[in-house]
Amino acid sequence: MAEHTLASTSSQRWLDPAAALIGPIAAGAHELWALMAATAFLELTGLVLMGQAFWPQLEGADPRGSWLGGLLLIVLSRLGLGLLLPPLRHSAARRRGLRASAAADGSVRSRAAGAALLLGFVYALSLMRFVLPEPPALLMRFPTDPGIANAVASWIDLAVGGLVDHGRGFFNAITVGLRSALNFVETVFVRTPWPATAVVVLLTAWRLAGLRTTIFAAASLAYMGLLGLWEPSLATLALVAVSVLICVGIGIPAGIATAKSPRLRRLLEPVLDVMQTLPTFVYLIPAVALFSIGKPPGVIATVIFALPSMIRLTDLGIRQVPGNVREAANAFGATPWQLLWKVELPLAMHSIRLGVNQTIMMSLSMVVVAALIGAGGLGEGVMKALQFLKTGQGFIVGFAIVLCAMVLDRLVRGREGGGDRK
Amino acid sequence: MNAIPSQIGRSSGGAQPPVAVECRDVWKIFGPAPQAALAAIRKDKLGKAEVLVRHNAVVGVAGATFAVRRGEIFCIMGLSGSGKSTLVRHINGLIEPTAGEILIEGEDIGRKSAGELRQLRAQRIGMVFQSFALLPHRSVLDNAAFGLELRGLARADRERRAMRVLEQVKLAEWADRFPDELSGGMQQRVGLARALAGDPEILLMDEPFGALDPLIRRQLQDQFLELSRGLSKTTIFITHDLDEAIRLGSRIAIMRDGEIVQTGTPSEIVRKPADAYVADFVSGLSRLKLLRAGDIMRALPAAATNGIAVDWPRAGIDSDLDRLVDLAAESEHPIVVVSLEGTPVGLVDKRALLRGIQGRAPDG
Repeated sequence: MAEHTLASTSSQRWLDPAAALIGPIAAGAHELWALMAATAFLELTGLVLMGQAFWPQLEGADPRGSWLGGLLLIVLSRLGLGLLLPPLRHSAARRRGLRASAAADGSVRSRAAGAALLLGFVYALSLMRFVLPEPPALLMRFPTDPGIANAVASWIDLAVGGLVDHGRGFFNAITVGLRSALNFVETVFVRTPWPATAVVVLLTAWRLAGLRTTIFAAASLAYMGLLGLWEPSLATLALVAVSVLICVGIGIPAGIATAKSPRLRRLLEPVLDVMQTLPTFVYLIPAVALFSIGKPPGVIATVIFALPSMIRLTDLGIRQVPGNVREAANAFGATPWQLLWKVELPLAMHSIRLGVNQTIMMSLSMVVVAALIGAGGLGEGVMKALQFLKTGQGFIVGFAIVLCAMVLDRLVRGREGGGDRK
Repeated sequence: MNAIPSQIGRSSGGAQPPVAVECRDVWKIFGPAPQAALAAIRKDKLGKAEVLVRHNAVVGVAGATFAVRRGEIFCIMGLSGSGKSTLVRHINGLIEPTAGEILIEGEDIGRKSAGELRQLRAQRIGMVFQSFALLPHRSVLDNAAFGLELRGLARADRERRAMRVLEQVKLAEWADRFPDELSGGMQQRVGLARALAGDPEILLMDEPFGALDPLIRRQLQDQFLELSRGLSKTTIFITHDLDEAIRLGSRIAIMRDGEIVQTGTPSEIVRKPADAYVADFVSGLSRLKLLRAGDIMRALPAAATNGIAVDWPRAGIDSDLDRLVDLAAESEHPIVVVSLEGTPVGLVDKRALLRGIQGRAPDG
């Protein structure tokens, strides 16, 4: 058998003639899938080129393919396979250790058969598609009906419409609640006389993060004030503050819950993936329908985007608490609450703080998107600069957003980076 | 061996103190269906390897039975994977047995509710871990006071008591530091302080000195011995080091593959190892501090005392081999072993001494 000669000769020779002869199937037989895919791709390209050269063409069409180029490609890929297979097999066998030596002749043979079947399928269809002058329509395009997409879309429209109609009271309540919270925070941030705000910010920076950050915060405040961005900056910070508070308020308990329950984590995982990766503009449309325009839907969109990080980092922090410390707490009679408050949360604090930081950064990155639906603040400045193509104005406002992010980052991290005791 | 006066040394006669901790036929099997695996072991006498293959189950502890009396230091000795750490976690209920009973002062802890079990751990059992398992975000003082804090003691009260135990382990001036500022030996003294702070009746020590280097380990053993003489707490001490077990233990249980293969005083274990496994352990041990003159001497009939010259060296019946070697090096004559009353009861010649150091009978 071919496999047999392979096995006996490949270890000594630098070129495996049997492999060169049977091609990608040999690679498949030895579980070298990447090698099989690469050589099969080259070989198939060569076959298509040759096929196009030989196949009768339509009247008046340009000549296609090149049998010489195709042949060269096939020969080269076979030669490469023959050269690469012995060393790759060797290192793969060493990596697998015992398992490889236990692999019987039979499994090599059945893998070879599987590889042959797979390659035959791909080769046949691909050759039909590229060589035939008029390939069957089924191969040209995935068979579907535009009606399917339309039906699904209108079904989603209907569902959201139903939600808007029937949940009006519920969503209005959320909108009103969010709006009044935002108004309150914004009033505090924006209407407070600017020297008072500045003193509070600088004192906080001094307490939390030391002199260097205080100087940096002072410079940032000066930048915002001098360039006329004081009010929009603080309006943006109000939006960020409310979003982050909501994220922390939901995210930390949810993260604790997923850390304690693997089942809940498995259930929530895909939901969090969707929240993080679904393009924001997709859910901005229904958000406006449900929460009208302005700041509330901006907060909702921001929370959807930033909440998963908070949940994930809290979950990670709690699960990273060393088992022996948890056991020690149990050995001294800790109740589940005591375990959480006195051991797990303090030890997860680093990770949780990272989560808060992430949430702030993600909220700030949503500022411009939120401005699209009328959330105002610095994002509005960026939008206007974009509309009227004002490069300088755009940079001025954009830089204010960067400074907000950096100051908040240093404040939340506190002295952690500075080497002082926690 | 010869007729040897038994039980010289640590174990004393008279009325024994009551049993504080008892394990009765404790089994722990890890796996998807531990009860089924246990039934199979009992019925078909399956070995460890077969249980793993047939039931996908690992035997942690196999029918451990022992009783520890109040004030005793009971060492459980075995290599890693012998199940000793698993066994000790049954005593405070961190692990529930697959079968068997654990009694603390006669009460079956398997019948206790979760709340009662917490109560037991918080008030009556202290534990020290090989990995120290201190809380990195708390000061030494707060770590030592941790158990008291869980019990709900007021801050001033618990800090006073924690400070007292920190003084006992000689760490009082480190109270405001954090664990990562301390050496390994000091961290473990904090672990010991944390266990002692609640003044428990029972101490569980899970290889407490195993992670420390030999010199520090020895210092801590001495410190622990001194401390436990004053406190007289019932102690269950896990170790993989036979020297440590013999230094500290009033009695030693030797574990292998989850089973206790022998239980006895240090001298019983050394003199009469129950099987080849134990004998193998003991063979690596220095007997100089362990065997006594009474263990290796040739008994002297009362009538034969006339043959003894006055200038022959003399040694008490409980002198250790170290002392006998000193005497033998200074004299050509055999050593006369005298009883506590001062009468000659036996002779140790060079041959008996050398054989004794080898751990064999004088004629062997």
